[in-house]
Amino acid sequence: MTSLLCASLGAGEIVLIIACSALVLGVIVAAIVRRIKGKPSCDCGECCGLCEHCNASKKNK
Amino acid sequence: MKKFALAGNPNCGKTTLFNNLTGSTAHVGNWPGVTVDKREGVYKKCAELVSIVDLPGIYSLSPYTPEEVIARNYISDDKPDCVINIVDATNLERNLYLTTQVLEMDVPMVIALNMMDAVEKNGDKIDARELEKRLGVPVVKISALRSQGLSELMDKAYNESKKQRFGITVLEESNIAHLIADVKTALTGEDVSNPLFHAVKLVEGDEIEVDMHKEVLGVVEAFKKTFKDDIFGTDFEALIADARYKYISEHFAPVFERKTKEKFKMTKSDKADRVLTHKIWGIPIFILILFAIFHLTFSEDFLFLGSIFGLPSLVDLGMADPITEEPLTYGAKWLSVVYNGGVMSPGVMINNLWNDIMVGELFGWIQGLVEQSNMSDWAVGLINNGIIDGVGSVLSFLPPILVLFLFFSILEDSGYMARIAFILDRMFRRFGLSGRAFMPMIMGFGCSVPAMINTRTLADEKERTATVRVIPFFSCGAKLPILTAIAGAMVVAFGAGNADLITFAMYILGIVVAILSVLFMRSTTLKGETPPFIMELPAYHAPQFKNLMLHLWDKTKHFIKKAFTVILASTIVIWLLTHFSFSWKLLEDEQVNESIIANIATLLQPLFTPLGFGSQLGEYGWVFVVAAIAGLIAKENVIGTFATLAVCLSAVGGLDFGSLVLDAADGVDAVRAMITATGITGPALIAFIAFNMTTIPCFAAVGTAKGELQNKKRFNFTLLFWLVSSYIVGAAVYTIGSWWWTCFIWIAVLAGIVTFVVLRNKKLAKKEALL
Amino acid sequence: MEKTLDLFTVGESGIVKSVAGEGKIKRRLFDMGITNGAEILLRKKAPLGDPLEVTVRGYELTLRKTEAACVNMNVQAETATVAKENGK
Repeated sequence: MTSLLCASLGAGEIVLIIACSALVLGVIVAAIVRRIKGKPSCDCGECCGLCEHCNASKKNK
Repeated sequence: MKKFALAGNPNCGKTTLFNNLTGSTAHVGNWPGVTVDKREGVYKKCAELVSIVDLPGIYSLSPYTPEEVIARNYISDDKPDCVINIVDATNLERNLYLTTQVLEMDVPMVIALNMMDAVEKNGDKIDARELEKRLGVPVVKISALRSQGLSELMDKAYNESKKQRFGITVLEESNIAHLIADVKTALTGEDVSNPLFHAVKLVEGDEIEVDMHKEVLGVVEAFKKTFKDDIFGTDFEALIADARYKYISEHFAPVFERKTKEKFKMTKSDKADRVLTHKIWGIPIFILILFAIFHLTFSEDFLFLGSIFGLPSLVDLGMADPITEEPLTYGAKWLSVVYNGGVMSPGVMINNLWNDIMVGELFGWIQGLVEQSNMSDWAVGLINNGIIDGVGSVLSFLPPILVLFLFFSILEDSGYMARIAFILDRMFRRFGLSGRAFMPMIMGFGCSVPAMINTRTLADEKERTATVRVIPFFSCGAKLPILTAIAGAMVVAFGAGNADLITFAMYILGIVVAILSVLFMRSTTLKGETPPFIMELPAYHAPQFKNLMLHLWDKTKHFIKKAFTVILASTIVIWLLTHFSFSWKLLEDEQVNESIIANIATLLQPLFTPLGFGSQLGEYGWVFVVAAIAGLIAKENVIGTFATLAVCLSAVGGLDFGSLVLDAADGVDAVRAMITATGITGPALIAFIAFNMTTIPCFAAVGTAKGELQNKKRFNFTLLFWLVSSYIVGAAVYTIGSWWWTCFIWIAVLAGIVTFVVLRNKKLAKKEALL
Repeated sequence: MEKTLDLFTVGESGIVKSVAGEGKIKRRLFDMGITNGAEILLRKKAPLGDPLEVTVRGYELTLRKTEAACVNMNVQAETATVAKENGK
């Protein structure tokens, strides 16, 4: 049974940990930001044109 | 920046024009009601940048449906610099009806005579100059489809936007002209903008207006008492509608010069309709088309050539391993893309090409590289088994989703979708819905989110709510992997059944559950009269290649983006949860039963016992619970979770997966690993599919449902409805599948509920009658 | 001869005399161009006999029998072409 701290941390592992946590945090933060702005996360698939959330976010850009 | 609004009847080519002006890839279809919300794009070729707002298609500015209210409020409150009114030149009279209403607003306006190419092709003529003179606003001939006349249109609109225009009305000649003038004066005194427009609406007795301007209502009421028309009495609404159409046929219609004098001519569209909406053949043809779509997408025995001619499989030919069925040579692998005991359907060919050749090889190569690197075991595990297998199993479903989507786009673009509503209305009415509700429902096969938004074309609030609730039962593209992977695994593992058939049957099950639920809701919580069904049937036209490709590209982009954000993040999180215990210890693969996720899911596991994937599955049974929960984020996660977990389970002693784990990126193999680990039965697997299909949809769909229902209580009830219905459906499937005689119990219970509801409704009806 | 639109046979045409019915349905019929004096041809019936498909003001409209029952019509002679197309 190896704890994470005891595991060997080479450059590859560190990059991996940073990349993964950045991605997970990014997705969570993006979802929270959308929620605060009052826009539910958008997943309108094919029809972005139909989707008010997509368009609202485009406008903000 | 100037702001121009595009307004016009549904299906008059607004969205095509919008796409051509802005280069946007908004969704275009050939049935009324594709645009259900306003959206914006930018036109860059004028003297300054112009923001173009595409409004939903409307027939009138009355508050009949939510989309009409959106368009009306936009023009009257947001005050665009110019309204471009698109008029379908092939259908001039009805299109100009809306024009006469927009004319009454104090807003600059240009008429775009669209589909001029179609008019000229028929040999008909329209005198645009004459129409311009009679309407008093510029008229430009365009063809949005061929991008003709667009710059002239925009130049004219730009010029107009610098001027001010006051509303004019075609009701000047009618006998209520002075009443309208009186009300207008009163409203001008109140400092109301667009006084003419509001005056007319007020005289019509429009609900929104009456609420807004109670102060001048007296004038109208007083007048109504003294006024009586010979034909309409005091029905001002009828009088005004009639006056508009009369004016149009007298003054505007003559600019249209028809080549043939025949009033009701058979067009090509009519000829197609003689077959497609035929009295007897209409419904069989519709079912055949649906079946053909599924056959072209999923069948591994195209046109049943293999079965008919008894063609040999690759194993029979000695080109594949008899046990694993893996092709032995590279050449055989290529052959297996198009043939294996039967010719593959086009959809499967694309799928094989993508999975076996492109993604399979690429991911395998990356995984090999990672293994050879000197990273520690856990890092290799995270990358290869967590990330790559998880994302790979999701990406592998891109081809069928796209192919299926392509077919639905063709149906929609061609105009056949509207005919389906026509054919099915009679049936839908039995369930208390109109044929129109069919459109959002069939869109649900693509994605629930646009489908739910599309319910805005339904005028009746209760019909909308019922439709939104059952849309997830129309299995969306993201649920397809669950179906195909589990069905495929079942066929291999139990050596019985047919994957196509199981998939098709599950789609049907979804539809049946939807119908039953609607029936139930419409006779209990959402009672109400059957909403009206008065709808335009657009002319058929060949789908535009460019349009189809834009749809597909949008879809692909979106899917890949999702795979590499939400889904990738969820796979990482699931990997973490499976590799850490509550004491934050990194676990080896074989200790997966001590992981956080196993602990939580084991707690919930007993709940699913009636559905066949609960306590009876023993110590690894929690995998199904985890997958179902992960599915709440995105339905693609269900199979992705299996792929991630397959590798962990394979390390546990006593479980032997053989070659399965090597290829866990393949969803089918991942599910087979789950079957081996848990010993789940066939009926339980089907119950698992059924549960996932009918339970709470993904986050995005839930969010959309919340927005569309606009009522907190109704929304919470909807969530509960999804949970309960999926639980009941799953339990029914499992028990009947395991012990066939339980179907009698289910039927008895169903009959009991039906009797209760019918009796209760009768009692209520009696009570109402007494009151 | 006078009768409501729902009683028409395929191929029959007529002129709208008046439109009855309650608010929303009537409003919708007006918006779609079914007003006094409009000429309507019953083009076909859906596979189960309902809804109907009509031609009005040069385009195809579908509506149910219950809604068509709100439309009072003056019947004209059968339009020859459509009758022929329907094999009569």
